[in-house]
Amino acid sequence: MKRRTVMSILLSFALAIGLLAGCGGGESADGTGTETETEAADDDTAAETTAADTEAEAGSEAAATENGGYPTTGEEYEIYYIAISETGGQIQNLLDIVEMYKEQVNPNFTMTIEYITDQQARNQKIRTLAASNELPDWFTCDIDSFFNELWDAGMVANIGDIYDQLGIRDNFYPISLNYPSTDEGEVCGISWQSQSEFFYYNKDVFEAAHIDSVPKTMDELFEVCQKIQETGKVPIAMDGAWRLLRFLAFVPYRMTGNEFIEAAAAGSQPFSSEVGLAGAQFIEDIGQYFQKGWTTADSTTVAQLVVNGDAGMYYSGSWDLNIFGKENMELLDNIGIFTLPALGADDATAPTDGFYNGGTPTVISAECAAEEEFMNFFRFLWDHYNDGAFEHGYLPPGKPSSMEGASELQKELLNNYANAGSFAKCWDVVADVATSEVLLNETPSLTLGDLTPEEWAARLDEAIKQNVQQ
Amino acid sequence: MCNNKGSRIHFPATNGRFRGRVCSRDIQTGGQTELKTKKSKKKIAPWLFSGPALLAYTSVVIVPIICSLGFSFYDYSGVGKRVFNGINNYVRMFRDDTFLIAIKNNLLLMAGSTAIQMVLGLVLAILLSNIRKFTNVLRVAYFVPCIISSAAICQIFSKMFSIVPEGVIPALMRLGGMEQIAFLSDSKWALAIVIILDAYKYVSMHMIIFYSALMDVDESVVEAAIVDGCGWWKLHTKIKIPMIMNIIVMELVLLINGTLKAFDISYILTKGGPGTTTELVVTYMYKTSFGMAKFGVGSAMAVFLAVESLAAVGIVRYIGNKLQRRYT
Repeated sequence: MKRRTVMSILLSFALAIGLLAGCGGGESADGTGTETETEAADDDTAAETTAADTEAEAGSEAAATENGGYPTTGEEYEIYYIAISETGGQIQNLLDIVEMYKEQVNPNFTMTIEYITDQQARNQKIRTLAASNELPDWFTCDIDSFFNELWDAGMVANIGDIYDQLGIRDNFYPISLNYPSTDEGEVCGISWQSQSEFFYYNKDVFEAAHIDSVPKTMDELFEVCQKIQETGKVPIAMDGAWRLLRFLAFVPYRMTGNEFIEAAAAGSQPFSSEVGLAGAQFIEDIGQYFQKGWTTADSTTVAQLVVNGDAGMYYSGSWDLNIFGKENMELLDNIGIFTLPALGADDATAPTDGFYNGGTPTVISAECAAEEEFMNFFRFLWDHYNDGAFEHGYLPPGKPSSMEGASELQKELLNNYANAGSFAKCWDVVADVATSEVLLNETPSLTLGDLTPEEWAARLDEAIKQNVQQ
Repeated sequence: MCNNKGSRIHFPATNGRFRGRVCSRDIQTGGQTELKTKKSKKKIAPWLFSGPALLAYTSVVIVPIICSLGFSFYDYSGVGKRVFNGINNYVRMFRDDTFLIAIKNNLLLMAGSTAIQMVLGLVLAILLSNIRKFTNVLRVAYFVPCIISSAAICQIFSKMFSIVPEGVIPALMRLGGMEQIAFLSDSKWALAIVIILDAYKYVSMHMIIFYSALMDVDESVVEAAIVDGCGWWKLHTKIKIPMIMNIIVMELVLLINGTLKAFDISYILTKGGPGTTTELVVTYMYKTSFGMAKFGVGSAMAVFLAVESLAAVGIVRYIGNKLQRRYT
């Protein structure tokens, strides 16, 4: 009996120890950051990469010093960054600069980047981290209502102030500063690119459909779609992401500029108004020209449809020149571009106005911004970043020291970006995060014909009532 | 002989089969203290064994439920202060059309997936129990979907159903002269595909449980039935299945509970879309909490889910007990 009791106690302890071991964290005890790692994350859309391999030299001194003309603490320092994609030119440029910083300034510097391409998944992760008070040092985040809460709570840095401290504010193009700004005009995010949005089209598909010129108005866009459809090709290649909300915004933007979406997001104008319903009707009508199964298609696959001549048009922007352009960043021979068509003579916007932005901004936590080594790196970064853009196949957010290496197309696009009068605001950014989820959920149903424009508008109005007006 | 009434004693060594009266004098003369010690030890031992598991269960199940209940009365976005707002989150939840659609979808998934898994699991188990050769190979083959991750299964099937680039299923439809259907983008089909894949992933687990139960049926009963002229159909419908009714009821409880909390297939495959076609209570709870940053309403949904699951399990157990009484 005694033995059985002893055994039971021992077994209980063994169970308890097993449980504790199972619950224990798997974090590496190696805090030196002297490893290069690429590990798959649990989410398929995410991958974590230690961007800079920190082959820290054992003899490096951890004292404040100045290397390569740049100040540094010389101490081990790591920036954890949640970014969008590891394939874009901007991130490759950033990684190159991190390497340069390590070689020239501080070998103990590390940037660990977690890539989450899916916008919703990325936002969800950041919101979860914010709720547990564990914001990453840097993170990609739209300037939306959730960001405004972080801003009001003082959890994120004022990027404009940092630019001022470094004396680099004037290097940026106006949209690169205005796009990632609060309503009060404070620059709160970093623009990594100068992005212009437009339609790519396949010239061969247009020719086969006997289309002589690109559409200048929305009516012409429908005519072009109809002609392409009659040849058996897909008129518009579409994926199920943010792109759909751009189509939704086309007509209201042409009718009122940003006035409608700002009023609708604030609850002062319903989606069931004439402008809102016009936008909804447009997307319901244009939806019949998307390829089958578009809601689950991915952007790279559908972009290739246009390159290969299986589809006629694709709404995207300057960042996709690596798909639609040659190595010299001129368009492929069979590809052309045209900008957002006008609605008519009564448009509130100029024909050249459209979607220009600096890409989804990167935000810096207030904690990180207060670090000395962050400022040292940030200064080094912006001394090199704009000049590396053309080499990496994208347009810089600020003025490069020279236009050498830029293609004629890139020069033209950059010129348009630098001189754009106004830019269209993205609906999913202007609307509060809860209404934005409803927009993302309900708009595909509208496009597929499962909801009428009136039903869609009623759901959006209800969402605004629940999320903004109460 | 002792004439007094004595105490009723349970003899553990006889596994409870022998209960008798022991003379109090006998007890007083030495047995009483020993019995008391044994009793107290016997009371401690189960707690010692179950203690760690109970502790883990309390910390990962009970405490979060209580926390969720607390959170559900607050307005909280994850940043800043929580504001008490009474039952407003519950009112909002039930006024939310998408939530009501999610409940409807979830009930359809529960009914469809449970039915497929019960019937198919049982049929496969019966077939396996009747096969003499290669049973191990077949069992492993059937069990493969259960051990593949949901993400991998969803990737495989999204490629199979894809129209652009053309997957296996649209290609077969084209070759068969049929009009291609974008199953995952079509609101008429998307939920059905989610139900089928959910059932496909987990059916083998239930098949194994049914198979074990069928193999456990007393061979002498089966032999007696065969000697009495019982055929294959009657052997299974009148003898084997009634004899594993307790397992069937347990399976029903597990399935209903599991399907009410279904998340992975719907979220990875369609993200609840197109529109809200495949939105489930848990996917919507997740989106509400972490997408819309409404942790209060999300917690209210978590509480609703817990209550819904408990109610469903209660109903199934009630019906199951009646069935068991009828068949045993």
